[in-house]
Amino acid sequence: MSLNELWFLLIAILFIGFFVLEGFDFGVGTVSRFLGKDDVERRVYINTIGPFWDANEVWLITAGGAMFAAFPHWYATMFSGFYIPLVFMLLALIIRGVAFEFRSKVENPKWRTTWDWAIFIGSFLPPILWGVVLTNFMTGMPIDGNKEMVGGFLQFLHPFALLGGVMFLLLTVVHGLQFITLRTEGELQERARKLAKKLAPITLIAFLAFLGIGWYTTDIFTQHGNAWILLPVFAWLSLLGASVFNVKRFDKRAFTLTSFSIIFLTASIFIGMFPRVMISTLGAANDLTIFSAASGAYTLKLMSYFSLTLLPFVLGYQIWSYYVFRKRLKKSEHLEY
Amino acid sequence: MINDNAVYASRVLTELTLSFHIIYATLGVGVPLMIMIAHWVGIKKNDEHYILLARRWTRGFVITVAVGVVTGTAIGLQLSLLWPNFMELAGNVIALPLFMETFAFFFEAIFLGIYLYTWDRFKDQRKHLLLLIPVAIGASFSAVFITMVNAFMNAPQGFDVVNGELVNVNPLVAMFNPAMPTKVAHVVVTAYMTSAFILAAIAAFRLLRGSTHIYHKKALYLMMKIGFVFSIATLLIGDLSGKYLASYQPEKLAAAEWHFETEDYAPLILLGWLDEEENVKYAIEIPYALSMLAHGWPSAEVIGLDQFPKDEIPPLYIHYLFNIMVGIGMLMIVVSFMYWLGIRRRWPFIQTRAFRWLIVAGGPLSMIAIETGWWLAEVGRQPWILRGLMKTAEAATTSEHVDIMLLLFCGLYLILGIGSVVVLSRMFRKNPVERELEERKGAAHT
Repeated sequence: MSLNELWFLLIAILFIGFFVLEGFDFGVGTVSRFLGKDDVERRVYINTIGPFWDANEVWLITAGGAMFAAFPHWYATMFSGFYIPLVFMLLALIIRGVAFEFRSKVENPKWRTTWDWAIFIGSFLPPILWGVVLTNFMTGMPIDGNKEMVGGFLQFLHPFALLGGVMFLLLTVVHGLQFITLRTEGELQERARKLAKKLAPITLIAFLAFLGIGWYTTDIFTQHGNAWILLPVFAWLSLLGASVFNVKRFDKRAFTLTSFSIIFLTASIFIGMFPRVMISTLGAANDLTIFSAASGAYTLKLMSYFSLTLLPFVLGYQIWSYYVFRKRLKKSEHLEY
Repeated sequence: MINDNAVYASRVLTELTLSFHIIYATLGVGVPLMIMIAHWVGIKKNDEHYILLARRWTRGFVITVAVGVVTGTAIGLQLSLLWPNFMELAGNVIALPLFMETFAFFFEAIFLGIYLYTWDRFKDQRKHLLLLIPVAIGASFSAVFITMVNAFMNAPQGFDVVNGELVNVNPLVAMFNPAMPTKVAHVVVTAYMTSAFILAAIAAFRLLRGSTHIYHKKALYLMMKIGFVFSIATLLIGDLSGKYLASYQPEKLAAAEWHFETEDYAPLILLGWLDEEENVKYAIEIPYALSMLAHGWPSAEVIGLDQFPKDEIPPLYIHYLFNIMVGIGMLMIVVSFMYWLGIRRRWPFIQTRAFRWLIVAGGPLSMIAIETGWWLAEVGRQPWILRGLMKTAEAATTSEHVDIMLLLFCGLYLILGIGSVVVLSRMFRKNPVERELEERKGAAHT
């Protein structure tokens, strides 16, 4: 495996990790305002992700950093092409991040309501925008021979991309609800199960439609041979299995399967892109690939030594932090967030 | 093709973002060390007050970290959006430290979460203190890696441009550039110094507001001592920074010192005024001092602005920024030294209200020194974004939408600034030290 391939793999893994981890805290952030009937209940929901959300977000920052350092042209083209969604994503993530810290530190109903809305908007927008961006990764963008995006400013917004946005939001919400079932108990847990059950059919339909259109209009799912179509199929089946387990109250299995659904889906998109990193709709000659978009060989080598040394520690400690905070949350307990 | 409006808006937005971020970033780098010291002293002396200091500072620290992280992320994104031509080159040469910074931050975020939640879970407080080490190291290394990139902008190296193509790229050479040692040391040490003086200012303020609790006195004395040590370190590193500038960026030093003509036995100019013909008026002149500062020798030749083309000279107002920064640094050395000595010699005047107010002022003043220092560093590099290679105007975006972004981000910083002040003040007012000490005593007995 060449270093270019290794770094594509690492970036894909970082993004997949980000979508799985931050996916559930987007979901929890989206529903906490509505699922929690009073202030204490909302706090319990927010506290399920309280100690995790920031480290989850670092996966994105690391993925971005790796992209910037290993494939500067990928990063540059992505930023010029998705200027608007990325700015809004940034604003949403900023507001959300401070909202978690600010919300419960001042006892004033107006203050808390304001930040509750900030948490909602900040958690609701990013998955939609990510869905849009991922769909555009699949369909490709009009990239010219100078590795630059041509055409209008809002061209990334087409019906298929919007479907992708909605589908991704629903997926993260269901994923988040399953996470809540793992970290709460009693009434609060039951409510999350019920909502997950209610959302299951529409999520499955949206998911299926997304995969169908993706298969019909792009080459992503079959780029490396027809057998690869199994990946998105597994993604859909995992979600189906998760909804069955949810009804049967096998919460751990349900959460595991929603995680796998996201893993299979995002993995199939990255695999379908490979060895391209940005697909051009103006002809395959203009595609950015892991070679045409890459940094110098020496930079890649240094980065590899550095990351492969540190990555196991970072992963180990993050897993450990989930272990430290494995206890279920009760209303009567001390709530930090 | 340069879009002047876009260049202007990009500069304003970047300056605003950096100026806002640096407040939180400075505290984010410095405060963990202070928490660690307080926690350690508490364990060593078996003193509940110091432990409580660490606990309360940590709670406040979380708020500043949150704002520091999100504004830091904003900078990362803005750099790509506003300075695409700079980032294209940087992505190939100096991306490595930017990437490494995310790892430093990873460690900080993970361990801070655990440290914060596990105060009462450890029988042995020393084990809990261990969790703080990666937090403090992660925080300081974030600053180290980011400052490496800034140093690279001042002294770019580690690549060649042949026919417009980047060749011979060596990220390690780029990272360990001549500006790196003094800049990194200066940034880290001043962050410690400023954080200490801000925490001291808060303690002094509580004492002025009627609290007579020994808790605040302990905090004040500890922070003034630490602040003194780091302000001396700042002085030494500042001197080395001057010598670095004299050798590698003489135009920056000359503009900051209003040193127009290259000469031996150069005097140091303090304050003053420039008339239309660029004659210095009403300034204090210290003979030979600039030669001493630049090369450590009174007869040494110091390069003046006459050696540079007019359009490559930084704005001359940086002279005042320089004077303010150094003035505040000197003041803080004196204040903290007098306080430290005064406590040992039992001088009554350091307990007066006037002296306490001076300490209170020292907190914000130190932050002003940080701000002016960064303005000096950034404006003093103009017109270059990469000294000698790329001008700021050439690096900017040509997009039409920067002014809208500027407004959006202005609003955002306003919300973040007000929000964090409200949260911090409510958080500590709602839960005063006296009450928390009582509660902890009660909890210990049951």
